[in-house]
Amino acid sequence: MTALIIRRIILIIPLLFIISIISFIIILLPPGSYVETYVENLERTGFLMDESQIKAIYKQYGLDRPAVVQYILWMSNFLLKGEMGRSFIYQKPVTEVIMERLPMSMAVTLISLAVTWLLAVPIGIYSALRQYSIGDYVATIIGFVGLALPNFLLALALTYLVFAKTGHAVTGLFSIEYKDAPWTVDKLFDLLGNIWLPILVIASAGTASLIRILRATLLDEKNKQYVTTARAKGLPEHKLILKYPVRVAINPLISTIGWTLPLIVSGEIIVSQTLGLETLGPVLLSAAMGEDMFLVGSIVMILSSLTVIGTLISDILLAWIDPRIRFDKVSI
Amino acid sequence: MSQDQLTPMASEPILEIRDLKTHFMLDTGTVRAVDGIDLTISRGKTLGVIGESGCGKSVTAHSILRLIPSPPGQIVNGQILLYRQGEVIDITRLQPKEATIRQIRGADIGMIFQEPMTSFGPLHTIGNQIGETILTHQQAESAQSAREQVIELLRQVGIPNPEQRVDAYPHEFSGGMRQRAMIAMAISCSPMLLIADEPTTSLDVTIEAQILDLLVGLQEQTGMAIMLISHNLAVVSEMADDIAVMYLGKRVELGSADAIFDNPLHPYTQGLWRSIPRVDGPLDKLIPIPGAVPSPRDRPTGCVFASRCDRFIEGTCDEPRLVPTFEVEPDHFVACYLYD
Amino acid sequence: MSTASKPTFLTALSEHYIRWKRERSQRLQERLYYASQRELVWHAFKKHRLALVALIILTVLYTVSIGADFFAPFSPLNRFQNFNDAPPTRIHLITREGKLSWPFVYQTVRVRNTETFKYEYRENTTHRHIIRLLVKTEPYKLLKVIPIQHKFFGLSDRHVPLLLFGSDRLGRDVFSRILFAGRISLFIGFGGVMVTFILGSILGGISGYYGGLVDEIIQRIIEVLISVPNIPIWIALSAALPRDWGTIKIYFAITLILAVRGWTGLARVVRGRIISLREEEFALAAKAAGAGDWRIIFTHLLPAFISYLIVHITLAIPGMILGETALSFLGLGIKPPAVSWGTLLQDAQDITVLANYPWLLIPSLFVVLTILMFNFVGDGLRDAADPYASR
Repeated sequence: MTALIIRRIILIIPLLFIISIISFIIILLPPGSYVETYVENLERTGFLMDESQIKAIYKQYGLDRPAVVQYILWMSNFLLKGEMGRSFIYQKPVTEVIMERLPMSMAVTLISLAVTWLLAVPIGIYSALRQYSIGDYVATIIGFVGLALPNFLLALALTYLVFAKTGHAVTGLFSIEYKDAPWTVDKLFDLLGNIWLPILVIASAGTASLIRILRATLLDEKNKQYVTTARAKGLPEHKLILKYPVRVAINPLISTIGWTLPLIVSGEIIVSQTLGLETLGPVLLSAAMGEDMFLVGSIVMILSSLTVIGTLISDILLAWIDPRIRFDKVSI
Repeated sequence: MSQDQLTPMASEPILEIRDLKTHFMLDTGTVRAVDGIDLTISRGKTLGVIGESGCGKSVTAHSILRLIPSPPGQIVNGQILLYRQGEVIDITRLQPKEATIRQIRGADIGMIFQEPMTSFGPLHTIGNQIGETILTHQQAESAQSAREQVIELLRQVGIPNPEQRVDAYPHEFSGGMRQRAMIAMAISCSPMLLIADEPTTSLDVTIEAQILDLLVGLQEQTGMAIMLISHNLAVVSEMADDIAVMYLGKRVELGSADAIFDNPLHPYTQGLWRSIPRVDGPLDKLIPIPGAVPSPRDRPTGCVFASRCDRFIEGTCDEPRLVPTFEVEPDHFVACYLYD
Repeated sequence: MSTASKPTFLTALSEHYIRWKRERSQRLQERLYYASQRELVWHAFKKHRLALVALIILTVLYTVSIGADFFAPFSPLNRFQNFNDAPPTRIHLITREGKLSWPFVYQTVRVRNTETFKYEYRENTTHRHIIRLLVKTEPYKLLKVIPIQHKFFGLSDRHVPLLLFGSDRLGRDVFSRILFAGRISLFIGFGGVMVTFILGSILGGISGYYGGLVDEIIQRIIEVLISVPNIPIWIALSAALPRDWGTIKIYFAITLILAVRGWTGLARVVRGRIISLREEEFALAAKAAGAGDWRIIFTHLLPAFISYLIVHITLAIPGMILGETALSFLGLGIKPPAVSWGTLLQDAQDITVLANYPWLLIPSLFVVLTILMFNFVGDGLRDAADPYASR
């Protein structure tokens, strides 16, 4: 088990390395150097920089040196000091901007992942055990529509419905009166009153396909010999279904975290923008609009790395609960 | 052989199947997998059921434990009577998921399946899955004592190092080992009947012999009855006291192992015998039965074997009616017009 | 007809029908026996009713978008003065006299409600404007080639607004804009899929056929691209596009951006199939006959699972369409005055706008319809691609 975890972690290092390169390429992509845009933007706000200040920035990021050196500087600054450059639209270090929003982003993402599972697993089990029942058909149809309905459209439609029915506009995670208030029980309740809609919307993206996968695997598994064996032992039906085929069918689901997580992170960004959540999504967008590329590249790197690490955790989790993988020395 | 050790009360029946019909209602038509079977299994005896694949042997076995998937499968007729501590239970009347049949499964009747490789769930230890049977039927007070029983069972079925192997997962066992574990599971609650559905088909010959020896030994120790289902004549003739020959959902012949072996009556049984090599016969005289088993959907209307029979009687065997069963010699029955 | 004769007649009829059915299915069976792969796939696909219907709907959508000049009553930029954010024009079938009529509309006029100070649209019921097919307009060129002076439908008076789905902030017909927007939204999938197809089959083919270090590197890259979330990458890449690019350049750039990740799935499929096929006899036979590597890949291995690729591609198109819609919706994709379904939906971002002018959400129905139909067609193709499996 330990060996497997270590091997997994070693395997992830090249992935993180490639991600950092891609992110840095993104930073370098736009025409015109970072400093030019930076100075331009400052001048637009009426702040004039003198030559020495500009030189200092050049030096700080090594912008006068080749791209490889710039990359090494950027990475070592990040790894050693946790610095990723400066955002000129926020007038703050990139790290600071990201850290303000990252916890909320992660919370929304993880809760959405949890909700995806809480919805998909019971529905998938129901669908498989009551194959061709009305409930199964309803689940299938909802699944299909969920697949076709992009996140932000669902967000728009639901906000419209909620607004039309209750007059309550779900915009942002907090109502205006709590936005800058310190944390209190009331603020928490306010958050809960607002957060369910975005969570539901973000979760919808993965739920549909998760249901389909679980249903298919379970339909396959529940007719296998070992289920009949368990039945021949005299186990009660519900107990044996949960203990044997459902457990087996859950395992491939865990490996789907590898692609549901990126889906949820993507959904989180676009839904946050639509519903005005205080997460990294809107920051990324405004940074992209303003060509604040250090911020864009850094957010891309952080989000991607976290997604990859999330996938790694799910892999380890899978190995932990599936003895076939845990003991398999060859295939993984 | 096992029959030498049997007590005089051996003819006491513990399971009686009467005119059992198990059909499968498919979109494409009804498949009459088992179509009127009578069998009796007596305490401590071994009944061999033999026939080609698709003849309904496994469906019969699954019907006894009500393991037929429904839909599409359904027991449409007949009785399966279980004689248990003075009471008689008709298994066909039970609901397949209710408590009574669940008490019978595993406790009164244990079952071994053909596929040892897939018979255990992959995610739980062997010990867990065997112990589960014991705990389900309250044969142990605690998980700890169940575990001790499992270790004892594993030792009994000849698994080395049972103290360690009890915590192993199925994929760590070889096919033969898994089948031993499967047997341990089936006998864990000392059932009075063990159904062995092609227990050695997917194992190689040496392992097969070991497993059969194990079954014989266990029967001597526990006095349980065995219903041994196989397409392998050698396996059945070696172990069984009585043999039932099945063809296309019908029991075509029934008799003691010796009678079936020395004096096969039904042309199908005779054909089976001719098609396997015998130690005492000339090697060059292997004659396969002509043709193939017809699909259960378009079975012949008269005698089911009519289409392949070399002693087919025009105007009799193709009459669309049930072939009567004749008792040609004491306790030796055959469903064939030749003995009318 | 007497009651006694009825059953016999019916029995005869049903017997005849059953015989006909049986013969037909027999003929079909015979035909299937000798059918080519393509005929088999088409036969299996036709049995998938839902997929067939979906294919028809998609065909209609594409036709209407390509011929938007003809099918849309107005140009996408045509503004109706004083008809900002007008609701859909009501279409009547019953005249004031209570008679059934060919569909018609009344001229709507905008009036200010004196209590709420909001604009309201009232019907002026004095004159009926009949909706006609093939109504005559000023001459234009269909697809910039065919000179034509008719629209598919409209009113003879071109100044009376016929707004099937209402109008937007600038008084432009939402229906016409949706049709024109389809030209970008529906076709971006094809472009993206084309790139996906080329990249995926080449890189996947190389990866599977050669193995070794090349395979290792390509697999690592795929792994990264698959495990990284789509949207941030798309946003970042779109942000890097120069602001001064024209619509066409942006369009192709977006297509490429959408394909950046799309090819990975296909490459994996291709690689897997190549590896399993590589050792099969016909590939070995080709090799033994002295065929070159590229020749083996493209003439022997790829065609062997071309149906597989087609299914994969059909199911990839909706993702591309969604990607473009999302990017344009966020303001990072296609930019006005060009229209795509995503840019149309940008207007509907604000909850207050939505609450007051819900018809601005109608473009989303087209997005959902298209995606759904592509999924059905893909499912049908998937079932059909292996016609022997279901038999």
